[in-house]
Amino acid sequence: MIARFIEILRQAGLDPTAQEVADILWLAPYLEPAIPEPSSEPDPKIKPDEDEAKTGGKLGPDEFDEIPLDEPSPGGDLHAAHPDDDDKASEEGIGGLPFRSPGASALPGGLALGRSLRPLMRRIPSKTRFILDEEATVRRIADEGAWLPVLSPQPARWLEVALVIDKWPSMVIWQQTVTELLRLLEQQGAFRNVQSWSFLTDPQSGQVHLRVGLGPDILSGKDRHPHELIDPGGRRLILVVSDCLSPAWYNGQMADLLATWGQKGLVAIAQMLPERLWQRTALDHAVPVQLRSRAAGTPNARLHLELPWEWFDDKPPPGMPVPVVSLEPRFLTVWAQSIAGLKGVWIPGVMLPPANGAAKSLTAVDEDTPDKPLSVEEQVKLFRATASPLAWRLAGYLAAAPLTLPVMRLVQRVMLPEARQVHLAEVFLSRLIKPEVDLDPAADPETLHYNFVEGVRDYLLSTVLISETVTVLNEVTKFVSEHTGQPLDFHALIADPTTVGPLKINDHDSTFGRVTTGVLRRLGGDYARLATHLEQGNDIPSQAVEQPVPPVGKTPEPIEGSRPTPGKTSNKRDDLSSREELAELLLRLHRNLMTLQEREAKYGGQAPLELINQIEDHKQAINLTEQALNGQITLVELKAALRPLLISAEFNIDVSEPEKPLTLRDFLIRLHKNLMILQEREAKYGGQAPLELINQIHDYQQAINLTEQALNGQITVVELKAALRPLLISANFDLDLLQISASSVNQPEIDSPTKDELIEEFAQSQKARVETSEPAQEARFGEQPTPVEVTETPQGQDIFISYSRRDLEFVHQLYSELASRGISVWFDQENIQVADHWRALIVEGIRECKIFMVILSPDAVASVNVRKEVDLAQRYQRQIVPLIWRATEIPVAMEYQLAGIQWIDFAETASQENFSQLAEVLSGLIGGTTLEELANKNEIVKASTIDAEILEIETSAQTESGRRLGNLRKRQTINPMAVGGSVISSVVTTLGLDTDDQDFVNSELKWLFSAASNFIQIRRGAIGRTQPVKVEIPPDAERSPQADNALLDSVNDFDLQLWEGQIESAFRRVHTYLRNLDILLDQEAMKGDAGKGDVYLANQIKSARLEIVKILREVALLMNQAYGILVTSPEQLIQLLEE
Amino acid sequence: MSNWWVFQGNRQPHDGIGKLPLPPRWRHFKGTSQREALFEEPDEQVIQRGAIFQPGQKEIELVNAALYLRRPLLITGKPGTGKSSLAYAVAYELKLGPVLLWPITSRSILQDGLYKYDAIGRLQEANLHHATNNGAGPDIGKFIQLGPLGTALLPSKYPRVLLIDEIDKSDIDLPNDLLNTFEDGQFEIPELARIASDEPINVRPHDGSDPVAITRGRVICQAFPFVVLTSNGEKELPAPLLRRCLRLDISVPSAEKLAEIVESHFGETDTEATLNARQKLVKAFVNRRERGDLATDQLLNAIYLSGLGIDLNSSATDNKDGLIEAILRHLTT
Repeated sequence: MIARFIEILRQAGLDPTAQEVADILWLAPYLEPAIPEPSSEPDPKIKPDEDEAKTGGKLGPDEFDEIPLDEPSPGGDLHAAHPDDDDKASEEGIGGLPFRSPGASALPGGLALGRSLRPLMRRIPSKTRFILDEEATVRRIADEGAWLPVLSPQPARWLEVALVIDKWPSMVIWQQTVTELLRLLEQQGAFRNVQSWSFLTDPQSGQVHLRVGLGPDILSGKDRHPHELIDPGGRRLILVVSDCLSPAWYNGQMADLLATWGQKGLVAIAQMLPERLWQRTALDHAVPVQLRSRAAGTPNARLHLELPWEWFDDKPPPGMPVPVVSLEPRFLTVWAQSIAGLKGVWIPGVMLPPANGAAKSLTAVDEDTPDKPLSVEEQVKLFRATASPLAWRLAGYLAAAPLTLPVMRLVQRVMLPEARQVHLAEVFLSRLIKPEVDLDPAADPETLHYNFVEGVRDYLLSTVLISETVTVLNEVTKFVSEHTGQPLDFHALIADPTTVGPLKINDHDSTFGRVTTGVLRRLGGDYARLATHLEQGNDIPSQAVEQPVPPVGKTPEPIEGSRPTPGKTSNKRDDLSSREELAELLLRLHRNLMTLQEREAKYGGQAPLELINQIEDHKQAINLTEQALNGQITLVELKAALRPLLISAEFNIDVSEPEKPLTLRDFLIRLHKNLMILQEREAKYGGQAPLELINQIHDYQQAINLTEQALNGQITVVELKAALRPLLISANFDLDLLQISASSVNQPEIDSPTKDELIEEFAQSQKARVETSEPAQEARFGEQPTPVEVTETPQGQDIFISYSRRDLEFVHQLYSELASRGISVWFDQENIQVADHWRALIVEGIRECKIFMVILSPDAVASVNVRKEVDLAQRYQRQIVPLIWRATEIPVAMEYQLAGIQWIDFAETASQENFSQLAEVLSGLIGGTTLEELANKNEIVKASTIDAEILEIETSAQTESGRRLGNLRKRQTINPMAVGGSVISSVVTTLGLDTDDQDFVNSELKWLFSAASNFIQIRRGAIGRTQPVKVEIPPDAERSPQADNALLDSVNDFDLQLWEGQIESAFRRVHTYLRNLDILLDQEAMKGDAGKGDVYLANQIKSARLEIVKILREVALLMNQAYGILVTSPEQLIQLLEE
Repeated sequence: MSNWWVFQGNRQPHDGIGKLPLPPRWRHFKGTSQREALFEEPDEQVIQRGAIFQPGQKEIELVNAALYLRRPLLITGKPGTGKSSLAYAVAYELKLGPVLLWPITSRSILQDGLYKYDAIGRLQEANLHHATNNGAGPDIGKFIQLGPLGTALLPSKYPRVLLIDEIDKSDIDLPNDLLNTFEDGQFEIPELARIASDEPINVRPHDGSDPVAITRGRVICQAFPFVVLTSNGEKELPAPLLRRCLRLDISVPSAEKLAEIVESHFGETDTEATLNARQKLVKAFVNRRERGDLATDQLLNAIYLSGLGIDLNSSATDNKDGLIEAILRHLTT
């Protein structure tokens, strides 16, 4: 009986503890069975006890229908308030009532953050306050007979904290977060005192002005001396809260300031951005270090320092080591432990180059002048490629809401409670979001309106399931009705069609939720009046609209579009008949779904993509239609939502007006979606994808390309269709739906090719592809062929420029000169803006360029990066054009790549003539002329200075090192699609496991690799859009005891995140070591036989390998903890991997 | 109004607390009662704050549930919504005596709430005694004063009202420490416990009433006190605490509710003019409230002043907004 009761409670979404159940049952008999509702709807906030208590003992499932879980109740639409809506007399738009909408914390997880600071709650003997030492007093009385109290110092709080807040404009979005952080520290009880300071950076001079306080009045405050913050007792913790983007971080001003404070005191940087974005801040120019404190309260200057492995110098870099923490419990915990002197805790930190150091020339990356803006797709894709899964999902949800900080936090809180402050930071830094008006330092950032960059919102919406965008609205509505009146809230407006008040809601403002009439009535006054109005005759107010807009259409706010001002026109549609139509639609959908599923079953797991898509879409359509039948969404919403879904199904949404032809845009999005699915599939193969799949992907890429051209008007629709036909054969794509206003195009339609022709063409393209693909190489673990590298026509920029940062000025000039002459140029200042994986982008840039130009100067040849890039260019067999800017000798390390190549001599004269000639040469090269031919016509092209003999020796001599180098190159095919796979494959190849290091090839290593890639597979499952983390436990892998205890099911999400974070960072470290190993092996190879005998080098190589193994072992351990996967034999896992 | 309600919320003192059923088995405490009577004479503060407060239906219901279940009541709400007044209203109506108030700061620890021991005072006195009489020292009980929580846990037939104000200001450990005490319903005073004697020792309670006798240094409650914890929602509270308390959110009073409150404070009006003036102020108050937090007290202040015939819209200074602007100033800027 009680079990049944608990079951019912669970079904109602409550999860009572035993104690709560006992309380409920005990209280129930005292209550009357039926109490008139105090308000029109039960308040869901009342504890479970009360909800159940009201209904007495007669609980049944029916009662729970009244609990508004998905209430379709009518209500007022909520809009974000404009800061200036008092003054604005907007002509269009409707009136609004002010409303305090419940808000969400800007620092989610405050409790966990507080807990992580616990180590700092240490107390030390006070110097001023004393307490009675009972024991000592008693002893004195006994021994001396003197009845005098003995006092001992009272334990006092150890540290005080000074928050020093960066006031650079980019920090305004964190104002609320900072306020909450301050409050958290104040209330923590760990600190004697919490001070707040601010610093302003002069945008011109980059000077830092330190001020007390953090309010707006600091702008006019007096400059304070940094020494004021130094506590001679070393008991003040200085926490610099910043995003490290202001010029002061780049020009060394901050470094000097930190050095001043760190000399005797404790100073740390609280980075508002997540670790993955640090590379895009000034921290990228700092040397990353690991720090360890010797004792509690060790000042920065005396911290133990471990330099990064790739730091070749013996001498540490100049500067003060400063720990960097982000506002996440796992960072704060170790940091707090380290401050408290816990032994063996290493914390991440940086050494910022001081102002007088070598790095003076560094400037903040100019963020605001991208010459060549990326396309919407590129921007979104770039974000997706670099964002964490949570941030990506968050961006999708945000696309369904108006963007002000409080609303964004609210959506985050409601839709992704597990997301933290850093995830919102990622979205903000994505550059997908821009303020509607310029940032005004005096304005309250909380009221500022932001918007997605033109087109991004549409694109994002197309990536989120339609039902989810509806969910955002529903969930926010639910949250609002549950939390109205809570202390944390913000100013919003309720659309009020009945008044013409001073407040106006603009037509283009979208709504982010609703206030149900129940809540409105509780508020009384005007709200109650509005509630009455909304309930009367406006059951489905939004139905009034005659022009539904599909979410992927032109209107930026689909939700708004489909839910416009209630009551503007009255609802004319007969409710009954629309219900019948809906029911009929539902029936038809179900019938279709069944047919489709039968068809799918016939394929036996090999169903074509379109079929699977159709099934998915149908399922969703059914879901939505059911919601509409229940009144949870309106007809208009339904129609808008159904349109994109049923594009593929030959289906007329006959509840709406005549079908609109598929637009090119929709078609493009469709293609992108399919491509994504295919790529995910390919990734699952981990570089072993079947040829057919790769072909399909290729075809899709080309189709996308063509469609984009058509969109830009470069080709006509008819041409597009003709071109697409052979491409999309494999994809069952119904081109006839592509009725892209073909009639408007006056050209006669090209005859579609006959079937035979198509088959012929297809076969040819297949053949061509097989011919161009690289021959299969020797198998690694088993018998599979290595991944076939997709050969692509270079789609990147024409020229890739490799240079040393010291020559940046010249490169800038070069870039603009070339660009003005119509040559597209890739160089990292221009082309890496949004990404944090800049290394990957560089690789891509080199791989896809036509010409690789290296700017030679003494600095360039000394640069490790330039050397690596030249190496890469050689590896991808790009045409290398050396441009000598400042005379230099070619180092041995580059001779191999540059031998026998003509070079271009600028000799430090950046004359227009030179540039013109260069542009001519480059155009010629792009056109296919060789450098030798051009050398005759252009005087700046010089003959090779590098003796051809060297080349001779290097390539033909069959020395040990020569062969080795060749092997290394051959094996290094990089498969960009399978990042995870590439880690493994590059581990294997770089370690040279199948050649001369037999002693290193032990089974342990192998299974570690397999375990690691198994993990990557699991992880990828988690990243793939919105699916929950699915942990697949290998059927034949033994489970750890924990797994048997079914503890696995209850793996705490937080821990899981923690573990995954650790695994991720472990992989990052593996990457670093692999890079180093690469360099070392190359060095060894260059030295030839001498290299073999170099003990120092050999030791370095060995230790790098050991390090990799160590980390991988760590990964295996973590996997065991996180997923309960215990790997016992390498074979087992390899097998698993191959499947 | 409901039959099972002990607390009716009608501002009329009555003996209804006697009708409260026995506690559930798991909230039964073994203390032997030292006080059987109700507090017939409410103290000044209780009258002042409790006699006019008007709780809503939801508040009354949850107060009763907390009384029945012998569980603490955690009230969240904005400043000025009457979170603490509710505790006074309960004390007034059910004749539960002075409200034991424990304001929390980030430095508060459990010990502060339980008792204070003046060891130095005792030593000095004992020293004095020793030097002059050579006899036994003064009674230790003189140097122990119970805190609000300690006093609330003194065994009595009827519950006392304990108001733990602004629990969200506490440091991170206090809520958990509190929980244990709430679960046990008892605590120990080691200074008394170590005196090996069964003789009861008199100590002073928090509210300044007569000393109470404690045996073997252990205080065990009989009727679990009616504990009200208030929170401004500034900080998340730990889940265990939330689980063990009944939770009540007090929302800001609606315009209608405000009119009632005004009436209960100032009495019904006789003139049309006064009524109009009041309605105007309530309306102004509600409008301003949507832009920032305002406490109900501010409205009462404004109405009080306007009742004295002061024109709130004019100002002696150059301030163009008048006095009303200053009185209805937002709590948060």
